[in-house]
Amino acid sequence: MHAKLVLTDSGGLQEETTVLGIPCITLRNNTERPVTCEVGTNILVGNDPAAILAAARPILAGRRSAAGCRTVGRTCSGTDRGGTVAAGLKKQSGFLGVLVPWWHKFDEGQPMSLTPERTLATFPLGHLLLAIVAIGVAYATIVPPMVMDWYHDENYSHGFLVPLISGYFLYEKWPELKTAACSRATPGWP
Amino acid sequence: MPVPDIDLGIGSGSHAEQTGKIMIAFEKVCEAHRPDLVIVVGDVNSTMACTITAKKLGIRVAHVEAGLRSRDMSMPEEINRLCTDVLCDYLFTTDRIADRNLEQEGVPAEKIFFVGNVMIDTLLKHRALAAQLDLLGRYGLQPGGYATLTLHRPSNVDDPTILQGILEALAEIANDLPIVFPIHPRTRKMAEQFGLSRYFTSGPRVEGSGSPSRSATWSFCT
Repeated sequence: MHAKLVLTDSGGLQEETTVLGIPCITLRNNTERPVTCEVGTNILVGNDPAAILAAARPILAGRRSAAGCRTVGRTCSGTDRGGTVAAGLKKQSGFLGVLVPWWHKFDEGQPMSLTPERTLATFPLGHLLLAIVAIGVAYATIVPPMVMDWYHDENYSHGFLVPLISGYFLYEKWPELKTAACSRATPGWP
Repeated sequence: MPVPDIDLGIGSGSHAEQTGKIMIAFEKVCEAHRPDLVIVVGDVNSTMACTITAKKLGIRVAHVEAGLRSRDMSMPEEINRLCTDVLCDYLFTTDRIADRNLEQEGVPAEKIFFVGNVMIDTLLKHRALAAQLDLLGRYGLQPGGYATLTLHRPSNVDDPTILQGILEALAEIANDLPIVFPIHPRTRKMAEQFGLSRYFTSGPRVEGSGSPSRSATWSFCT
């Protein structure tokens, strides 16, 4: 409970040190509790003496390194987005009461690997502009004839309302959209 | 902890020996009591043995701490976890990663219950009580002035070269910070067998408070 450092090859201690905010060096190449590496104090080092010492030195020197999944050798068996993990840990009774004060104790660098999800509001402006230009180029040959159709063919004259109504919905939903998490869809569609 | 109503009295042995003995003894208990539900915890041999026994008798089984995966099939615990989770009717998980592991293995979502971590709840509940024991005072340690070590896994202690490497690294750490080491019987046996006991200075022998499995010889690594 008051240890400066825990070295272990057991499972449960990885969780307990994370909750208590004690740096933990795990002498294994993998863990069934990857959450302790991602949001906790756990570092996997395997059984190589040099790796054990490399992990221990900053802690002994008083530079508490308790952030992130710093694995040497093989990596954690699973990954998860920080937000989900935090939500999970929050569910454990009384957990956050312990976690939060501890969390704020780390003032060097990134306290944890809890990366906030990227939203429209935090998205780099350059990337957004690039996306808009790309869409513009892709539709450059389609949109002008379409607008001409709206203008000349009365069957399509309601087309002018479409951008207006879309714009209204965008305006109405903007607060939600601004903070909604962006996710990647590699093949091009969700 | 209260004394259990039934003690199977299995003891130690090889994996198969232990698993077999548990299954034989637990089947008799299940037939005598016909429970509606068997709850198993963790990833030890009895977790798997009791799950298989109950399930074959048509009794529903719930697993606490389900879905943990190291993806390392050389760990006996991983085999216990996989066998248990595939058979259980109710899977209680400690985090979302576990939920996802189970989903990826084809477990229907309605069997998975994300409930939190009973071990952590226990830890937090007993923190104040543990502080009252004044273990630090008893061993002349300062808060933040020591490290704690546990070491027992076959991959770390069964090979003389690996064990010696680890102990050398630990000895270097112990130059800066005393290491409290509740030594596992397996580790002690191996260290003695490989002639590596010189790395430990025997500390005072302590009996854990209550639970015999927690009692151990504490040694200070120098």
